[in-house]
Amino acid sequence: MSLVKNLFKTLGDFKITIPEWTLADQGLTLLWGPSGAGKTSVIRSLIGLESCESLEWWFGSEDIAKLSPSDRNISVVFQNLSLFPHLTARENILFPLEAQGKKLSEFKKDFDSAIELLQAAPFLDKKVSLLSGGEKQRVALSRALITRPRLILLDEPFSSLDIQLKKQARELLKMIMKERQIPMLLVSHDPIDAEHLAQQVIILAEGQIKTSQTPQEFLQSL
Amino acid sequence: MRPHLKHGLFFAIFILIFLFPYLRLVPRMAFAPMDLEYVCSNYVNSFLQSLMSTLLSLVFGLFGALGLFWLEGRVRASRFALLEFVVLLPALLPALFLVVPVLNLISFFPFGFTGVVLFHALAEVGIVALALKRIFAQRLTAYADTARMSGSSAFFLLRKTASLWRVDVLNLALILIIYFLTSFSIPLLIGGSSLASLEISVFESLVVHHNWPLAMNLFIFQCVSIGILLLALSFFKTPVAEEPEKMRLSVLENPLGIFPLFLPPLFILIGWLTQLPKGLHHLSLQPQVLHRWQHYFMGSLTLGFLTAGCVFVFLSLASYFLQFKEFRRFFVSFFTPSFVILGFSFFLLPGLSLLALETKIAWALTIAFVPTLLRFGLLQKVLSLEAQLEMASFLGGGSFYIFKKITWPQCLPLVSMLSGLAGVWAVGDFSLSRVIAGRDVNLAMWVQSLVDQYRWDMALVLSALILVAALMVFGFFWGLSYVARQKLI
Repeated sequence: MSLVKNLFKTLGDFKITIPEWTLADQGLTLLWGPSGAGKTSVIRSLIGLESCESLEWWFGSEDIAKLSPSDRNISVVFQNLSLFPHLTARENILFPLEAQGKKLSEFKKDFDSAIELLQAAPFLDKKVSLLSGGEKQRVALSRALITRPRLILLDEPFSSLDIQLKKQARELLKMIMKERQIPMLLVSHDPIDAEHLAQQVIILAEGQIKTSQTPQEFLQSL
Repeated sequence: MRPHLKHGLFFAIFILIFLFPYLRLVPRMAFAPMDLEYVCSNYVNSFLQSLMSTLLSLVFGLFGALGLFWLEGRVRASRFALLEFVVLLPALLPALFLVVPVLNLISFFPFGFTGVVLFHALAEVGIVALALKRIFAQRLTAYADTARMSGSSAFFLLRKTASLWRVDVLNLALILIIYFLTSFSIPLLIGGSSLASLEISVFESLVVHHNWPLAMNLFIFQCVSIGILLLALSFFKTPVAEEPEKMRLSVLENPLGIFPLFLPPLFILIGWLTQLPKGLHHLSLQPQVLHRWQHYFMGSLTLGFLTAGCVFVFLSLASYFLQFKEFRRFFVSFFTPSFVILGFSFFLLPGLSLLALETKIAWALTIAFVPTLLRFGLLQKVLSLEAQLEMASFLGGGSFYIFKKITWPQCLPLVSMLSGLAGVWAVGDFSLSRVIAGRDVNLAMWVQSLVDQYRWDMALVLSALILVAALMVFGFFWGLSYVARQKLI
């Protein structure tokens, strides 16, 4: 369980007002809301890509909001996957370790198991610009896993995919949850994600958390 | 990424080393009495020239853009890319390549104010047409099919959608005005006694009248006016344009548009072909003209490679500093306000006499060329990497690590290509180089000396050597760019 406090942010006329929010430490939480509800701003504030002076984010006795984005040990997968097109899949996956000067040998097991779990071995040495949409997803998810994160944030990673790839991506997430048991926060406005993946649904509207529901309650309320 | 103190310090040192020849001008900034009427009339003349050059370039460019749309719908993509290169040639090649053939072909071509305006428009029509085509493709692709189905003509669509593209065009116009205000080569060749550019007035103040206070006052005038234009430029914000869909904009096609586009390259070609036999004949009668051609050829190559190398270093460092939002404003607003003053500032630094003449010229040419080269794509390239830089920083990369792994590999092909282009311009430069050297050191200066002696046909033949030297420099950096693209991207 982690506790987000004082997430207050003003973006022109729009305000995000989240005094307190408890995030589950297992399974997948779906952050659901209409376009313009402030979902992406909430995520970017949480990971530190947008400044939010008042924010506190407590994991036990540690307030990670005071740490730099890379020290928070949170992984994120954006809608565009943010892969580096000129690097190979392997270089993309290992990027956070090399960037932080960590010894690759210490993470060899994590690397091997991520590759095995996401079946990324066949295209590891191909440049990302040459990979298919499904392969790119696997690379992005492998990169998110490699640093042993305390939480994975997924900012609408399926929204631009076709039905087949969306289905594949959901299966991959299920597999990761089953094998690794890393908590995840998924931003989406697709009810199918609630039905297939979520343990809890948080509804965000006009920059505020309106309610927290079970997926069944959420689907009935639609 | 946010810069630390050490980045700020590195940035300050980088800028100081790069621009320090300008520092020697500071003691010369003393106020001196001047003939305000003379300064104002020169300035008005210069501004009118740049305004007229801009308007004519935009009118030619508009037709050219419609011609490009027409061509794009009719030729294969690879051939269209080749045609784009051909229409860009007059802007990419040194001014001599256009000026000499046109003056050879059209004996009644006007000199002075009108000549400068016409040459500016002829030289830049290709690049303006490409810029306008891109603006229209970005802003109007979504409406093109509807307009076509409604029976709209190109000009009707452009008029009705003006609010969508006018700010982009206004930005382009402001950049062109600044560019033509600082133009030196064409006014020097064509301007005659019209003082069509403030640059020429500055040049005459120093070379003819040895009047530093007047030159500095004109320079300050120029700086202030460019500063105001740059400030205006920063006010006109446009929504970020999406990469246009690959869709044919048949409503904007007009075959007549290819005439202004291909007229300047045609001038270059016909001028060469018609004057070649005459020039060769005259050269055979006066072989003594040729006795130092190897010396000038080597001078051009040395200048070309040195300038391209300096530009390569500058643009590489710029792409590092452009990673930081805080430093971008400098590069966005960086302009060389006067080539003449830049040239003379190299005279004034005593320590610089220790440097080889070629090194000084290359350094000055680098300062002169990089503002244009930055706007030729490097600024946009680094900005397009923003999402990758943010992710790399989030994943824990330091600024140098991110530069090494993300920015540099993706910018290197463009940096190499732009350096090659700078090399081509350096090979063809005769104006700034002459201010610094005071004597002929390369082919372009030699050819300009022949032009001054009205030996047009010989000048035309010998300008082929400039092309050979330019191709050698560009070929090297194009090769580097090609290898970088294959290996790194």
